[in-house]
Amino acid sequence: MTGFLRPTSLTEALAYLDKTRATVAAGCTDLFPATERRDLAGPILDVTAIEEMRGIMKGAVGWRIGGATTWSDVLAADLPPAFDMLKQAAREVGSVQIQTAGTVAGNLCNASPAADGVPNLLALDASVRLASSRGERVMPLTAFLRGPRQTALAPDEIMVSVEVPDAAARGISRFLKLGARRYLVISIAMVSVRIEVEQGRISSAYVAVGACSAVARRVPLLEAQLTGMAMGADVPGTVQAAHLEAVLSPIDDIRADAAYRGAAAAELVRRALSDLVITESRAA
Amino acid sequence: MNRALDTIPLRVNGQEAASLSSPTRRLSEVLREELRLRGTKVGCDAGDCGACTVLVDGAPVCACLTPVAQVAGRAVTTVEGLLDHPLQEAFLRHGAAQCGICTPGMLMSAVALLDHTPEPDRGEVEEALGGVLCRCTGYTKIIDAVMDVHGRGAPLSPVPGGAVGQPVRRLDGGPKVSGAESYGADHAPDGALLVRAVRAPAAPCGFTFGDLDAWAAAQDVMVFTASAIPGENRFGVIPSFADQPALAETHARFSGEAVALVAGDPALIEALDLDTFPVQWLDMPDGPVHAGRADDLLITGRVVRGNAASALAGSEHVITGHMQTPYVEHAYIEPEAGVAWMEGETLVIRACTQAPVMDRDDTAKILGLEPDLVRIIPAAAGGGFGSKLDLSLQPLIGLVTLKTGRPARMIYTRSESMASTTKRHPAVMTARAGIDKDGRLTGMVFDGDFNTGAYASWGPTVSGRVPVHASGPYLVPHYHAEARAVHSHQAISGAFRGFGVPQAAIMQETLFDGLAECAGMDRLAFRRLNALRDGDRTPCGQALQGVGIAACLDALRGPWEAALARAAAANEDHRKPLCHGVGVASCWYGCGNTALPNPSTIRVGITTEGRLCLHQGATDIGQGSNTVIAQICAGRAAGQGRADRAGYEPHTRLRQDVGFASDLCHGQGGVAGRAGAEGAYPGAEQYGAGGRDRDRKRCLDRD
Repeated sequence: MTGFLRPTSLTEALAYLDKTRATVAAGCTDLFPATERRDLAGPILDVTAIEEMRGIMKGAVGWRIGGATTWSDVLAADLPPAFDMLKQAAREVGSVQIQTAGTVAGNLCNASPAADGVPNLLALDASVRLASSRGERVMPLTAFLRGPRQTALAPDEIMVSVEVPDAAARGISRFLKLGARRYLVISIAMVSVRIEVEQGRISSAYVAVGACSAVARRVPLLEAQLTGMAMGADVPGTVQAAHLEAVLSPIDDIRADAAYRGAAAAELVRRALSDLVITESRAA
Repeated sequence: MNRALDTIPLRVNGQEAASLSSPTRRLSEVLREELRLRGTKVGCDAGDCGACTVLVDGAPVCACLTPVAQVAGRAVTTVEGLLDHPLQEAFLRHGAAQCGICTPGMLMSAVALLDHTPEPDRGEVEEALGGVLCRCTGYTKIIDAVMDVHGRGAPLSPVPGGAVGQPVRRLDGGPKVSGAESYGADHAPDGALLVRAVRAPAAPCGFTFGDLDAWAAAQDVMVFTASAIPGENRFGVIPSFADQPALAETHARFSGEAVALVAGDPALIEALDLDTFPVQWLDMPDGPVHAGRADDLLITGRVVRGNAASALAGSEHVITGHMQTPYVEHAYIEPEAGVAWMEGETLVIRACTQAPVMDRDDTAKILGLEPDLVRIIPAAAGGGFGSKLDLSLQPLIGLVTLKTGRPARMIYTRSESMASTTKRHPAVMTARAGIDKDGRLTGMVFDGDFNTGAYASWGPTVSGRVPVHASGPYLVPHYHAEARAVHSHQAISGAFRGFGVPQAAIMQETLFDGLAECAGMDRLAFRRLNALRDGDRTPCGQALQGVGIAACLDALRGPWEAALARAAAANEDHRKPLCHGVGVASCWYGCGNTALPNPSTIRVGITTEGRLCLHQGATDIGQGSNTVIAQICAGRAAGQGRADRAGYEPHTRLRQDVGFASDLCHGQGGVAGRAGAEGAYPGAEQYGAGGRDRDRKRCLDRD
């Protein structure tokens, strides 16, 4: 152990990071499983005591999820239905124990291809705010995630928040995850779908798939196909394998083979749409 | 500011404490090793098992994933802080604590739920407990207990003389729900050395050591290799096949095999980077695993009855199938752990185990000691399921203590446990079976290769038990079954619930589904038609009495038909994405040692207070033998028995050997019953070779 800081202010945190290039730690639910050590190899910057990084707030132009916000915080927050999918994911990240400690931003920074948070935030057109002692920058999540375990985060930067614009905080949404068991499971495939409906027709559709490519992907061909459709029983049948194949590149691994992953992802999108058709009909 | 030199203020179970640990030390370590609160268990150090669940300000977290600095000034609650919570009694009432290793995590997760949802529904309980793994119960009893936390059920108290058949609060349950139970990692004598193993990164893999003395001196630790072993560096559960070294001598036969030990001050040993250990790994061609075992064949088991080939040739329908099954890890939540120390001339080893007498004999042989000079004290075992029948760390900590005279402690990491201990045998199986025009089985041929990995372990048992059982509990007039235990440079396969029989059952039962279809019969009816009856002979020629399979299948008739109807109705709605199906399968399994005597000895005495006292050496790994054997003994001691009074520590100085494995409750039950019935004289000894079936259903099968 060589160096540890758990500051209460972001300024102090950024100065320490600038000086030490410490590992940024929050829930530690990815850092500890990566080592058999009894402690974490330092230097460590623990951001969980920085008040301004905690919680979800509605601002002038959208929603801000602080960088130290846990999955349990997401579940407890009062959010519009566009975020239902994010809450549904929050319930399925690991376990209650993991949700208590693990953070949304940590899920993004860890950049697993199977990160449960990513497809939801893609379907919410999310951006990430990165801060360093040099200043701040905001970039779309699609630009931040560069590959498996690869991000645009510089060694002196902290993800201080995840931001969802008002324009995307609309409509109804659904997250579905397929795993070998119900809890404590890494996804074989997962999908997030957000639909905006105007006068009985889909005015906008956002579909994202995770665990079927190096980084979770939106499915633009399907989104275009869905847009303009009447919101009814025909919607789920619109999903074609070709829509997904255009952007996904599932792999064979211990959890599933590529063909199964692809088929499962398409089926999950159909089921998510089917659920949203029911949700919409109840609301109407 | 650098906090490393400061103390961290803690509030655990309402008590103030200060930790001197590094701020990023796992909270689980601080609780267990610094505050000595060892009710919090560590199963994986990765958030995958939830055994270490504690509450921080009322919310459940994995203590193994929590840096201690994050709980500074917050309220930490562990199982020791529950203080007679009604949930603990509910766990005992429902038999929700079996081996008990997951119990603290289950209790803490459930208490967090109950604090904000006093009367949860089943789904809420499942979600709240989803982060804690249990390998004994199948969860149902645990969920039942949480939902019945406010239950007013009468405390379980068996009536004298009628203990068998009555639900009994488990005799050793109290410590399991209070957190006081002491498992392999929970006893640490002052001044104990910590031991870690250097393990081969691949196999087959040669190795040569560099300057061990210089490295050890530089690190201020001790190093032990195979050359330090004073006895015969070879062990195995079946003596005539013993082939496994405690420490590899010239090359490793499987990835993860131990080649050296480092021991020393716990802080130094913990901080060691074993990648700096002076060993050079040498690539080796993948040749025979053991010289003298041609074609890597360990042994073949064969059972032949009649002429299967001609019977199949004359059959109305014949089906052939081919199947492979993978390695399966037992995944008991407690990784192997234990501690050794000297008491005078005697080497004492306290570790988790299923087989203390086998441990004693093999450890003594390896260390060049007379068995009388080795004493095994089984710690509470946090699950075993067969894998803790084989030696693991016993000879390793025994060697360090013998060489240094100091206590030596070792706790496997989860990955070390998975890499180095036994697994279920992967199987590659082909089988054919036929029926006549009425749907009656005519004959069956079974052929299987069972990958026994680098060492023999229980491979011979698997190759023997599989052909004995591959017919399933059905009348097969003509039969030819062979199973081979075959070596590979892979993980060792050993004992796991049924010794290969479940793998064979998957093959056989799948074939029978196909035969039922050929015969145009309902799958359950097909099995009922062919099920063994009283007086029928097994493929080995044993005429059976008291056969229960037909009654089992008959009992399923109603539920089976209802399930088929439900599935058919559900499948009519084509809009629903899920398809529904119903399956049925049987399995049978002969208890005891296949083809060998399985002696059991127990003692029942009368204390000076006039109470019956049962001494029995079965190791309770969660299957309930501590309770069930006492129950059977009490039940047979007419007019006297209460199943809640017994001694149950099976260490090798005080108790007799009773064998091992799941069926020991079964075999021992017969002994306990007779000892109880025959007057309970001190020292009354019986051998349990029969009279078992009546008691069997009281036993929870856990080998």
